[in-house]
Amino acid sequence: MAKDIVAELVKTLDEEDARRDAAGEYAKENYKSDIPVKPLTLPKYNPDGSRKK
Amino acid sequence: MKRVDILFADGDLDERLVCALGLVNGKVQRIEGMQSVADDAMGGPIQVNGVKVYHDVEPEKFLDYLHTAYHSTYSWTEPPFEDDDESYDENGIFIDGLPDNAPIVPTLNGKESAPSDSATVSLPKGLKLSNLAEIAPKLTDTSFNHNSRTIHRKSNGQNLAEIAPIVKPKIIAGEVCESLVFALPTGLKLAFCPNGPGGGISNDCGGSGTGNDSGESLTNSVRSEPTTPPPPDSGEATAYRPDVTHDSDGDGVANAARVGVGAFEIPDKIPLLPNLTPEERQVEKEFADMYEHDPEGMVGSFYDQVMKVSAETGQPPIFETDAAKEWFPSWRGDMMSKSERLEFRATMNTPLHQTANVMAKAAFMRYLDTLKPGDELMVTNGGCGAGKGHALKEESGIKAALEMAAKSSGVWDSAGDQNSTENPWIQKEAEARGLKVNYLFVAADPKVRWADEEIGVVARAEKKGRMVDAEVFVDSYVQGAKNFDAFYQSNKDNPNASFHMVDANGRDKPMVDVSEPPNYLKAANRAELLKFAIDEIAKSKASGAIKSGAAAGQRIWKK
Repeated sequence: MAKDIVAELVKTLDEEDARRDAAGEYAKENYKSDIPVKPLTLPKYNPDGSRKK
Repeated sequence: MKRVDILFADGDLDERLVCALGLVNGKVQRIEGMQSVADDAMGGPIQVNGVKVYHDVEPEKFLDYLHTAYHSTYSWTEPPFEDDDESYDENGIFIDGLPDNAPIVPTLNGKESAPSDSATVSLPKGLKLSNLAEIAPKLTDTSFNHNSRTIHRKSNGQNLAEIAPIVKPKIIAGEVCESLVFALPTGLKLAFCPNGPGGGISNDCGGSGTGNDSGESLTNSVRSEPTTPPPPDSGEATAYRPDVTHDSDGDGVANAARVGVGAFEIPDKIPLLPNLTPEERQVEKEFADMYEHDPEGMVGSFYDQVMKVSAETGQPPIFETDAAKEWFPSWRGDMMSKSERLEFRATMNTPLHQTANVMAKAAFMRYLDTLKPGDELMVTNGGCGAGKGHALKEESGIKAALEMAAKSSGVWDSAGDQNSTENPWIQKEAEARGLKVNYLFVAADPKVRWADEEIGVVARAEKKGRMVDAEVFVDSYVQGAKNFDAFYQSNKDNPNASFHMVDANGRDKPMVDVSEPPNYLKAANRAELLKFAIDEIAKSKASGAIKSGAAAGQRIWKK
């Protein structure tokens, strides 16, 4: 029973994420903004969460 | 001649360095300076002296990999090799040329480590100790990497090089703490506790570890990051920094959460957060610019998508802030590798929340205008990751929630981040249109929903990337329960509002109906809960990006 509940919770969370991913696919296909999104270099992090120099 | 078998290894593609925990003639030794060559800069396999090691390996692949990993080799930086003495033994295991009595100095980041230093070792993502049980006999023949772990030296100055001998790895599997335990002298044991209270590797699965220090260190790291004020040149004074407890109309419900927009507001201009890093600021501002340049187009596109899903599924349309973030290209991963997308989502959830919240609210208002008097709505409330979606499924057994959903023409799936502040706004807008609103509140243990290895937001971030900040998370449970309770008390007799509350306390207990938000939330010690969240993320196996995203609020809303 306990395992089933956790599995159901995980399944629900996966479904919610899939729903959002589907929204992203729709947005990619159907909405183009005139505002450019500039390339972004994300910071690199050490395993402890600190930013690499 | 020394025989070296690698137990754990952690690679760094940028610095072309792999660190490892290995056996050196039967002794545990932290090895630093393995040279690796990235053959896939996107996180794919790397070469460790000719042998492929996977950075993002799945357990199944890892088990396959073990069969090919016998020949993993490394290069010492100190002490030096005896050049002519490299060979493999009769089992195909690499034997290096290290002199028998050569001093072995554990190093950390290239420097000799003090006894209190930590060393980093790793396991493949998703690997559980139940898998390790299968491979324990092979441990001395393998190397693998990814997902940092920390060794806490608990022997009062005794470093790993002095801990000897290894007798035999064995697995202790338990419900609470699954451990890989190495037998060590003088009663000391080195235990691998991925999810136990000690986290990482410590001398005791139930040990105190150094989590508190780690949390403080993480906070300091995040606070030391560079920041840039909201443009254009108006400085931090213009930043959006509401008091999450301020209640201007005396209804007991706070006016705003720390992210998103004021409860009753759908502003034309997006309020910008304080103390963002230059990267966060760029993302926040670009999404805001997109909206401010074309609000009708963006909201219309979001609205159309929600309605399309509703038409396809036969379910009432569901409006939620998190889905609106998908209108920012990098959030959905356009032109990104999987690993880049995960890193982006780990650190950019908060900066994108402002615009996404406005989009979702505007689209929801547009939908309300299509309904007719007498129609009903459903609003879900609860902390981040509390299980609001689960309460709406038959498996939850919450019939009242299912009945609410069945009679509702639309759903406002409120972000936990908004702390239930939006309910008075929704009620007002609904009543103005002759609509009735059904409110569902889902309570849950915030510690479980933060740190649980399967359903916690940290674990979910490892899988999907989106990491909620700890300050926002804690608000969502503590302040959220207070706001919802106040709204319930003032509207429980309102004929245009109905309420149902459930408690999903614990990780694996059935949801149960309750008559009000439980006291364990309303009376929770916010500071203690925040400390728990920061300490837990600091000592977790989550990536550095997730840790940074989880603790970003320590910089954004620093006192």
